[in-house]
Amino acid sequence: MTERTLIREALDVFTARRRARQLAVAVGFAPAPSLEIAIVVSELGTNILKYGVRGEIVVSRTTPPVPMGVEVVAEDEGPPIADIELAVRDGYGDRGPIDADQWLGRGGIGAGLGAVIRLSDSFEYHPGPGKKFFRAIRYLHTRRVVRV
Amino acid sequence: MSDDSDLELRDSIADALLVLANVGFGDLDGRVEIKGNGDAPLAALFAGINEMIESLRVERERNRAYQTEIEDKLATIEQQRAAIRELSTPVIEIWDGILCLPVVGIVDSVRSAQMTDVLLQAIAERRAQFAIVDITGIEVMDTKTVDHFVRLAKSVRLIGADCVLTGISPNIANTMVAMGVSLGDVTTHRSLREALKFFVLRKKPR
Ligand SMILES: Nc1ncnc2c1ncn2[C@@H]1O[C@H](COP(=O)(O)OP(=O)(O)OP(=O)(O)O)[C@@H](O)[C@H]1O
Ligand SMILES: [Mg+2]
Repeated sequence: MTERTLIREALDVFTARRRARQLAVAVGFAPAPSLEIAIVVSELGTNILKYGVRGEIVVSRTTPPVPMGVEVVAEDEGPPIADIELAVRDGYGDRGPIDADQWLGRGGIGAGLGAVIRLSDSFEYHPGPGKKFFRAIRYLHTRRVVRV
Repeated sequence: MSDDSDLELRDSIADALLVLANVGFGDLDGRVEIKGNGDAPLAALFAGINEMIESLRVERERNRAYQTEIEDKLATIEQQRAAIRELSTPVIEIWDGILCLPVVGIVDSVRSAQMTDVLLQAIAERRAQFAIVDITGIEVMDTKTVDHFVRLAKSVRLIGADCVLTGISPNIANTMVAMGVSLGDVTTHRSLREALKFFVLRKKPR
């Protein structure tokens, strides 16, 4: 089961996360974790809208030997992220901290990738060559201990 | 008229009646068979019947196409409605000087930031004294987003209005406790109704 959604406008992010949520329920996730998976899709999807070029979200059921769960891949053709270590920190963009007076009107609090990490059990970033992509997996049975 | 051609005639008419009966049952695929040469009087009648059945069939196809189109459109509209509800952040003045930001759907970091922008701007524009951020129905949020809502309430106070959070679900309350999100002096109320009562009682006339 694989669902691809091209991300061109806000409505597409909505569509992608609805599909992800439906898939999560179909895989057997309870309502709350299904919503968390939808949030992961939402964060990665809005990042494509804000910073990416020609991106898409692919959600699928994991296949063995990967434990049962939902996998979210967000890829786009824009240039790789300058500093991923910085970018995943809460309150940071990829070039440094976002001041509190900056996030007003900035359209973000710099916690998107942080949320993706917190709400997933596995998180990877691949800068390319080729398309860059993020892969986040949420397992059905083994929740990783969340580090805050 | 010979007996033979009389028999043939009855046969053809029976045929035609059968086809018409089927039309009555909704079968528009049958056609009356036209025997002999095409200029017999019956041949013209039968050809007319066939044309009529054909145009009925075409019409029915078209209706079916409309039907599916309408259903598709309705489904799209329903989806767009849901999307608008989830993607927009309306601020409603529920009482003179009291603004309410009802939060529905899925809240991610971008949306929580939008809410801050929209609410602070609305408070300034309408010179509101009170703001209620109602998150009833929101079961799941990332910890940073929860934290952001608390900060939102604090920012509202910084610009001189009062802000309460209402409808915090047990799940979100747990998140707050687990992550040590400090409510500070941000007030919370169980429901929108309670918050409204609280404000209306404290409201200074303008
Ligand atoms: N698809 C992408 N292409 C290019 N840069 C990206 C992409 N996704 C994220 N980034 C970079 O990583 C940074 C951190 O992203 P993150 O989602 O954590 O925060 P944000 O988008 O700035 O704010 P928020 O998600 O809270 O609205 C972004 O500021 C951006 O510079
Ligand atoms: Mg983001």
